[in-house]
Amino acid sequence: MSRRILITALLGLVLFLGCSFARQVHRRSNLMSFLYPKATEAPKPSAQGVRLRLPLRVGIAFVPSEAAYGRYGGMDATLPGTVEKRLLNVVRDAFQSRDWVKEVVVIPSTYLTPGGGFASLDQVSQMFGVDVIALVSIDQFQSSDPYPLSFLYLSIVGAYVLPLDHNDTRTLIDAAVFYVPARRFLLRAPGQSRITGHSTAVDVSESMRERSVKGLSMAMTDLSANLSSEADRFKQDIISGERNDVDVINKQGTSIRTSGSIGWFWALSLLLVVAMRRLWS
Amino acid sequence: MSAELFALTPAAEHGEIWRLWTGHLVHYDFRHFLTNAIAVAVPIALIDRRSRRSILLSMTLLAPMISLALLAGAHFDEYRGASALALAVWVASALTLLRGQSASDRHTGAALIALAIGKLAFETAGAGHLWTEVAPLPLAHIAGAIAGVAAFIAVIHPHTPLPTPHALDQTARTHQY
Repeated sequence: MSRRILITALLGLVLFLGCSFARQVHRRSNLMSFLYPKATEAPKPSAQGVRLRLPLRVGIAFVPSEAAYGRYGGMDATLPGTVEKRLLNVVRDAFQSRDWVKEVVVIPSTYLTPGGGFASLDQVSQMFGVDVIALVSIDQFQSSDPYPLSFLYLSIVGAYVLPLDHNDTRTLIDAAVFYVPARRFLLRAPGQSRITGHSTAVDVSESMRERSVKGLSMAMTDLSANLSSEADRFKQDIISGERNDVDVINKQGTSIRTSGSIGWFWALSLLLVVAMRRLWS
Repeated sequence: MSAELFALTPAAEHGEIWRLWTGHLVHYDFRHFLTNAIAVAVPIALIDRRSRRSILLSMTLLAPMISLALLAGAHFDEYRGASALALAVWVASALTLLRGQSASDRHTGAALIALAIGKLAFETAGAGHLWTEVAPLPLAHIAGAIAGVAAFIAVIHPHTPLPTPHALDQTARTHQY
């Protein structure tokens, strides 16, 4: 009897040690909860139009997440500062050569207060001397599921050599660009990536960390391309008048949306002259 | 059909020459069009039919010249609007009225000239963006005013009679009473 119990216990222990568990990591930073922590008190954008003078000094930063959930949604899922900087440099390098950009300034997310809203952006804007800031928010979901053959982990050695865990990393990045002094939204662009692969049971954590950074890096590259297209479209929208709340002054001091515009005051003055002519005659 | 095909852009110098004319005809929105339309229609309605026809015909020649001056002298991605032509019509009409027979014509001409000078001075001082939705290009209005003077000297002036002594005398007597 005691022998049977012992065998059952040993078998249970081996099965427990040999099993691989499904794991999930969710990194998330929310732009809306950062900018408008109290939705009912969301500040309205300034009614005055925005005048952007080229070339621009543009700031770029990751949106900080709520302190209770760590920077990206889990205490074991935070990105080191060096990785954060490397990811933002992907966008910086893509835009540094554009003629309308003077400098792209990488702002560490630690300089932004979680839920700090535009007050926090104002501080950073003044500190780094930038009026336009691109806020990058992340939504990354990672899962690791064992294949049915993962019972081979029972051999213990199998957990070290057999890649029987399937990893999936889906990343969605969103960059929203704001003109901070007027609290005005200018444009946005998405970036996304998906990486799938396999790993051994003991390498799951390390493998997921690596794929997280790789997924973010690929999504940032995608974001750079999309942001470039959106910037061109934004310029066309300004020129065509669809975005008449924004004007862009080029290096020569001329609006890119120049016009022959008489203006209401002068048009009314002309009508006044017609009225005066009746008096004179 | 997209208005972007007709706006004045540097492409006009690379084959798309229709833009030299059409850039003055397309606008960003209805308000932009309306203010410019008033500025063209009001001065032209004040002068006689013959001068009116002369001014409008001269504009077909002056419009591309204004466009070329803008492309040479200003840096912009796109230009739309009839205000340069409006200034040309405005100034040419004002000069025509100054040579008119009646006192009311001459007063109206003087008022239009004063307004044109005021507008140009206002814009040259850098306040041109006030009261407009779209940033104006001061060079366009200066070029328009010069075109207006040119149109008057070349086309209208030879046909416009000077006020006769009788008309001047009538004016003086009207003012006495």
